[in-house]
Amino acid sequence: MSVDVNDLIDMDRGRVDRSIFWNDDLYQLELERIFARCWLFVAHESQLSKPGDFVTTWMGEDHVIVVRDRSGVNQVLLNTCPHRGNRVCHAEVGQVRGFVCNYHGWSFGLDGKLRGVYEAPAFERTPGFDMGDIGLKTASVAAYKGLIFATFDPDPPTLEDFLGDFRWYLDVILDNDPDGTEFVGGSIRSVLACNWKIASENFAGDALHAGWTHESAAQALFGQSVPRLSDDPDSFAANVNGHGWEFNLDLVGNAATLGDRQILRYLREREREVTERLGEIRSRMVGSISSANVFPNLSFLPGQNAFRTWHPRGPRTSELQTWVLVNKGMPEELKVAYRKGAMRTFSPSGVFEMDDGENWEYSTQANQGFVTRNQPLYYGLGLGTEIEHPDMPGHVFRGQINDANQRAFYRRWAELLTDPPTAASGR
Amino acid sequence: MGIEQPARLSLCLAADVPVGTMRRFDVPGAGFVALYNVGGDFYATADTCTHSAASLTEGDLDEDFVICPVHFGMFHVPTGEAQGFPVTEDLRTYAVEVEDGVVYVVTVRDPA
Repeated sequence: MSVDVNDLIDMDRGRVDRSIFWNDDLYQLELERIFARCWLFVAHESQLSKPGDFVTTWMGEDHVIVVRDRSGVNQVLLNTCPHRGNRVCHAEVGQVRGFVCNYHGWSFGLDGKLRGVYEAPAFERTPGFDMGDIGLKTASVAAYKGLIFATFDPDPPTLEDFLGDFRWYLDVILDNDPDGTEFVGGSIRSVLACNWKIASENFAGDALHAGWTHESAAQALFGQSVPRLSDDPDSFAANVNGHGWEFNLDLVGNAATLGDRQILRYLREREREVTERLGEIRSRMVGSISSANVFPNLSFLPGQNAFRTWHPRGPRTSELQTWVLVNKGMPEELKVAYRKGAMRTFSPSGVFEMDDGENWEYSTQANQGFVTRNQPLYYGLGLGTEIEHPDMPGHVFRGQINDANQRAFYRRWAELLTDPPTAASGR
Repeated sequence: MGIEQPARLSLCLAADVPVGTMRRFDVPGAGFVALYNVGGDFYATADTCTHSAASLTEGDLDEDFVICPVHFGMFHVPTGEAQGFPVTEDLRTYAVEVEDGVVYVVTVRDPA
């Protein structure tokens, strides 16, 4: 590619070239250097309780099976037969003994190893044919407090290093209760005509849009506006390795949009316990006005407890998967309340989701115009607001009305795109 | 081939194959035989799947069905009946007798 990626973003001034939301060559580079390399969220451990339990999902545009094998280890298998390339699993979720390709009957164990072929004697007579050499490609797998991640990087950093100090923030939602977390219900799927980065960067840092984009939804749901945040002394943007979390310390701001008093009561009653566990700052983050993104494309909303991945489908389309995360130890009726609340707000028919989708689609599709896509975008909000904070790790910025996390997101994006993969990548 | 002569061969102690498990034996005159313990009752069938060349005892025993490890074809253990695609040919079954805690399989005498 002839374009220098570093010319497309200027984070010292806060400028982004719109071709990053439109250009097909850049998109192919993203698949290779971001999605085939980063640790990507693939499942929650609660989705796989017994050997043979599986879900299918995507790592970039690569379709994968996440399955618990017979020894209880979670495997991530590329869902493509090494014989003629057909999918070996066509379901989204289920329980299996193994995977058999529909095309020629090649059969694979839960560990991805080839266990048998149809018309075996003919293969066995073939010089050089060795079942042990052939199997489903596997990804490296690791988990952090219930979240399972996988990577196709042949020489990945540890998941701990990839997440870095962002784990301190992740514990707000993953570890505020000793019993841990689980997903409730299934996965909500939808397609948006927007570039995946527009959605990811919104969750990484865009508190600004909340009061404006979602004004009517806020009025409809709880009869008042989203609070003005620009002068709030207790609001921050924090980022680590391109992961971002913008937040307030108001305890219940996001949770209130679910419109269920028992959820607010639950958060208030647990505040002291969470303070003992995580300290005062993080206890106030649990349900607050906030949003977060784990680079590249796992986003979530503390308070609404909606977890989602924006799977890229070309530069102009994203496929969204949404799950609802709750504390395992929570009473059953509260789990139902969170599930219903998340559907009311952040599903395809959710009041906030509809607001966002419309904006993001126009932000992407406007770039059809040649002149339009040659106009730079402004990402300078909050330049110069970085602070040292005694408790909060990572790069911390005063004020959640800030583009700081978006700038960090694109810095990380450019860093990965300009770093050629090692020879073994993707092979 | 002459007239088949029944032969009774001891396989193992009943305690060696607990409820819900199966075990493979190389039986003279019969080849590989799978011995199953289904809820305390013993059954025996050929161990090789009638579809491909897999060993059924490397698969799963699910109540009174055995499932092949390769293409997951399923057989009814007491009767050997193939349950559906890709297995269409039934398994050969053998009579099993338990006496004084010893399991015997009844097969045919090797004509040699």
